[in-house]
Amino acid sequence: MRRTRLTRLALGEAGASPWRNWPLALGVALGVACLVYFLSLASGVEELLRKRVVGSLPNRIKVQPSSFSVGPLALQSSINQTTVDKLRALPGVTAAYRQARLPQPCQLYASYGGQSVVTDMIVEGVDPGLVSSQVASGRSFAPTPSEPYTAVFPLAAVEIVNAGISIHTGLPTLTPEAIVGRHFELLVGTSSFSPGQSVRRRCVIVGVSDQIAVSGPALPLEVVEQWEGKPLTYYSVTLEVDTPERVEAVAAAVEELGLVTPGLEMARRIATGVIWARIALVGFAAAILLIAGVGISTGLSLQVREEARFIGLYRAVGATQNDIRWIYLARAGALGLVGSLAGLLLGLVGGYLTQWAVAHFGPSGVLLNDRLFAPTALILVSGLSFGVLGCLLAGAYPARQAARLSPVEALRTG
Amino acid sequence: MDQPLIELTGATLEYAARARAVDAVDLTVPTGQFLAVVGPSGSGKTSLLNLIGGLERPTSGSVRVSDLELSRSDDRQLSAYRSSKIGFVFQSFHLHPSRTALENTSIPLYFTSTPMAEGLARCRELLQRLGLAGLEDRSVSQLSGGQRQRVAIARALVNRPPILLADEPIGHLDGETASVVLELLSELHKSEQVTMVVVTHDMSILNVAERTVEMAGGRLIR
Repeated sequence: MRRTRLTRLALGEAGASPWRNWPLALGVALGVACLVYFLSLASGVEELLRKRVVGSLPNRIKVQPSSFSVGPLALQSSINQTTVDKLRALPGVTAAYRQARLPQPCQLYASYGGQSVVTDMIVEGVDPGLVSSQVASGRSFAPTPSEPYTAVFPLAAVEIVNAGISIHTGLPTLTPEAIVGRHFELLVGTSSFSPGQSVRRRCVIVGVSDQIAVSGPALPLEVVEQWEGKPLTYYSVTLEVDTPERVEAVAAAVEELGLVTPGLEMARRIATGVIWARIALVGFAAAILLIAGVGISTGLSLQVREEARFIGLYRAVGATQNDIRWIYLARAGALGLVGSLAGLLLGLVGGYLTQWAVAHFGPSGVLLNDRLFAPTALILVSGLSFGVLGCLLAGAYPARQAARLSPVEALRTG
Repeated sequence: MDQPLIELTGATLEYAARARAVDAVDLTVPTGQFLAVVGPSGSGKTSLLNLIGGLERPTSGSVRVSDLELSRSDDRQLSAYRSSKIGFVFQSFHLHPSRTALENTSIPLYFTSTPMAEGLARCRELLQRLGLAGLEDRSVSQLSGGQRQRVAIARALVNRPPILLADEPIGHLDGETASVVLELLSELHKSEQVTMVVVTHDMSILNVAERTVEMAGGRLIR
């Protein structure tokens, strides 16, 4: 009860001279705002990059054959069925989805925004399980014996069209919903660079996927092998692991087989980069908080000197040294709380403004969810704790000064 | 003679590199007495008051109030003693200028366990008795010197202390206001049965005090 009363006394004093006290909280607000905003930004960027590189499914690993360079030439081998069987047998692996490129050149014919579009493409064949979760509702990616053949379109290609072609041609923006169900034709056997005899194949888009290569549409592997007339070798195999936590262990076993996991490797580099970026940004915010803390400590020390006669009075009417210490710590804590709450608000506004700016001015489809740059509860709690604890720490010295004042000396200052 | 409430035996207060502010003072004050301590500036009157009030511990000798030996008490005991047994009135009032008369009077309540509502009622009653009815919610910066000293007296009495220590309570007041305040202290002494030790170099105190002692050079000379 005594502590509650002392806190009320301290807050009453802080409120009685607001222009002397609350400006001290501005630095804390700025520091906490930076901390919250930077942490949210780093988390959002990390999630964005990770999902771009690894894909939206965290329990998958893309495996590729190792490549080597001879001068300007990069040579890459392929994965055969025996290796795929070895991969399937690894502990924790629940499925292995193969990806193979159709060796024949292809041209895609489609109608887009009322205009005909013709472009060279590399068609690939994939095991349906690779994209099954991204097939539109009510559609199937199962191999069909006749036309139209089912196909999925790469998400990255949709984004390239929207970020470039749509802007320069004035054609409408593509969305996954808008292109599902649309038909296109493939001329298999010819391209602008390699004209030749071709076969026309009609296809229908059943989904948009971030699991396939950007170079063209993917069809069921079985269909593509039928078109080629022989089994293909695979340029990539995607392993599905029972839990995301086991991905690293499976990746290590994959590397022992002489294969590489480029996405995972990139994800590791991104994680390391983000950690350093986060350390630098948090360091910057901490420096602002440190300066704010020095400001609070200096400001409160000045107040202790100015209020010495009242400290003497409190001691004369029964305050202990601990009471005086508590009064100044409570004042520092209140400055920290007010500053931190203002900082949280600024950080939140900053996060949502960034979210809004990316959604409105950034490339379409960049945002994976509508709270990517918004501070999480953990970040908010961390910001609040950091601000309040920092201020209490900053208030410790002036509180000690106040508590150690001799009541007689303090009263004489009046 | 009544049982001594305050008893100083050879009480000495010495500051580093300074002469003795209080030099081997022997003094007893019985319960309910109105004692005036007079003497010129620098004679040790305020230091004597600080010793009795537990704001300072004697360098040597003893200061005993009721059954508490102040020279051997720690910070917590002295604070509890000041809160429950002592009311201080200062020459320069020591009021918060931005706060109201009621808020200033209630400050000692923050350091006790008295229920706040009960304490505030007591503050209002005291302010009324001291002639400040209607001025409770007025900022003390808007009050006259005499009114401010009455607020300070109310603050000293809010915890119902048995001892009131006043250091030059009329030092900053004009003659007429000083007489009113002295009369008020005398009335309070009678009505509240408070033991009073009033330090002053103003001889008009002799009209209201029951006993007067004089100090010079830190010693009691009369």
